[in-house]
Amino acid sequence: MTEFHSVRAFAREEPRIELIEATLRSLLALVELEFEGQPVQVDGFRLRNLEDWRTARETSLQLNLGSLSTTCNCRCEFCYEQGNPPGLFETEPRFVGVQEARVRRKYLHDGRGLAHESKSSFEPLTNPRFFDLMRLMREDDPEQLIELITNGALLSEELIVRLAELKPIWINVSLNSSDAAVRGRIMGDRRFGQAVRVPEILRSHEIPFMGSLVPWPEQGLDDLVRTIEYLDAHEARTTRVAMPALTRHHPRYSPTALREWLPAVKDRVEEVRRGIRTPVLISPFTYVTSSLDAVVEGVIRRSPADVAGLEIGDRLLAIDDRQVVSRAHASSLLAKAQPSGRVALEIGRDDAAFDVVLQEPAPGLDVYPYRPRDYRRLDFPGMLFGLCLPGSFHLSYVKRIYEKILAREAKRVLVLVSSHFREVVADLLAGLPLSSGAELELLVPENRFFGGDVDIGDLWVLEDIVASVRAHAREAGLPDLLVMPDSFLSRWGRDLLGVPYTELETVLGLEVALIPCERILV
Amino acid sequence: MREPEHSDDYVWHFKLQDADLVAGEDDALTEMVRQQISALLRCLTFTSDGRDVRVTGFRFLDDPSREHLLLPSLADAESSELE
Repeated sequence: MTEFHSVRAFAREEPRIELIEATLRSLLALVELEFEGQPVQVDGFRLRNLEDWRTARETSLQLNLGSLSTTCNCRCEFCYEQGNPPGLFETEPRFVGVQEARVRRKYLHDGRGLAHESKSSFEPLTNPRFFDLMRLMREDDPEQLIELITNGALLSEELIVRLAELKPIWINVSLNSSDAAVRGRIMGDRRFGQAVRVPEILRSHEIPFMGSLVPWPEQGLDDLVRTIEYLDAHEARTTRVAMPALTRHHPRYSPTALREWLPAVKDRVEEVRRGIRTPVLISPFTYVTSSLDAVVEGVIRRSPADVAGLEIGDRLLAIDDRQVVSRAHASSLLAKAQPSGRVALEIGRDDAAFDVVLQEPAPGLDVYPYRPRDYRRLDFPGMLFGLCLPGSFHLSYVKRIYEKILAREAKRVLVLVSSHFREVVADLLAGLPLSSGAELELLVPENRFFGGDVDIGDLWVLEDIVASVRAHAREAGLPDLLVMPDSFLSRWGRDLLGVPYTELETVLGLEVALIPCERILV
Repeated sequence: MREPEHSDDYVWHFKLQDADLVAGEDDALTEMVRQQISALLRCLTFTSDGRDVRVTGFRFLDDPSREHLLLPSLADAESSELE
């Protein structure tokens, strides 16, 4: 049976497929195609020479394949995918097949791969060819770290043994609860006992992992704490507490439920994380603080930072003799030092300051879970040398905003900002030396498309921005320059619905300047 | 015309939506041009002497007195139906 791909699913990452479809459609309304003088009925098209479609800037087969499955074997009460607005993604379940994967592998070279779709990301182990796909990824690159995100329900010991043969592999286990009954209740996991054993089995097979939890009122705070301690006892490399946010479409959304629960979660997590060794990071970290200070929020076991005796709460004052001005700056300096495997730090602790040198472990040494034997790299942004530095606002963004304002000679500037960074950005922009008569205002667009508790800028869509700017203009008049981050747009400047940002200029009748910004991942 | 070079490759198939042109005030030929320009503008920005040009419509060379407007696809959340 012919498998059709959705034009819309490609619109964000390879919009020229949409252009071809629109062009063909507009032509077929006026002409009929022929073959040897006879009309030919056409109802679709296919990509011709795949070499022409190597347009994705990717180096790993895993990234090029994207989500292996768009279906799940659990029914988590807090699952954000259940709250997706209608029409956001294709609803037909789709599994990446081995034939597609082989062809993608064939055309993946020189930093380019075949164009890929936007699709929802569910449980990869539900793909019937899951292990074949994993093996293909390993064959494609014997040293590439393979990252697997799973709820663990199908992760049997037998499968873990097979996965161990594919090292280096890194697993993010969405455990949520270490109590099988709680897991069964809040996740709808019918094989709940299996998942609870996963951390212990991964540890015994020296596969490093991260534990993930979405705190949920029906789980209770005590179970949350027990789960964090359970992950620590089994030497999770890190634990992520992902604060839930339900859209207005989510069947369990109610306006106040999470607002009352989450402050208590934050307090308990802050309390428990200081007494254990596995770093516990609340995500998004702006929920904890909007401060840009370079404070260590966790130290990975047996990492260079751990060996040197660094602790949660230590302040990074200087890195390789350069004064640290912010957390993002510290991450950038650590990234520069990382290839040498050595970095010199000046640390502030309480009222004292001291110097330490961090040295990466020798190759071949087993320092589980920081970097087990056979792992060349296990470095993620914000975790170099074992120091956990959650993502934050970069001071360089302010410079970029200022440069755009000067280049456009704008007099009335409206800067869009996520609610998570509003205060920080307001403080930083207040110090800009604007030209005489120039005005600058901040606006936090309301996320109406997703609605509910969703308030992060990375989930804006352009129609939200149109509505918010128009509402603002009714009081304050239209600006002549709209400055906004690009972190919610694809590299083609398209939002989640595939709409290009250039339409904002037409619809609102003003200039738009994009500020390149990183997404907050940790 | 080039033939596909790898006939044993996995094939990416796409369906065409119905090809009816919704003719408003304009004729079908004008609508065809409008759709193609609109589709192009979703992928690129026209430039003139290095500066971006915001295109909101077009004129046929045989009838320069008449402007045909392009209709952006961007919806306004205020006017879209909220639950």
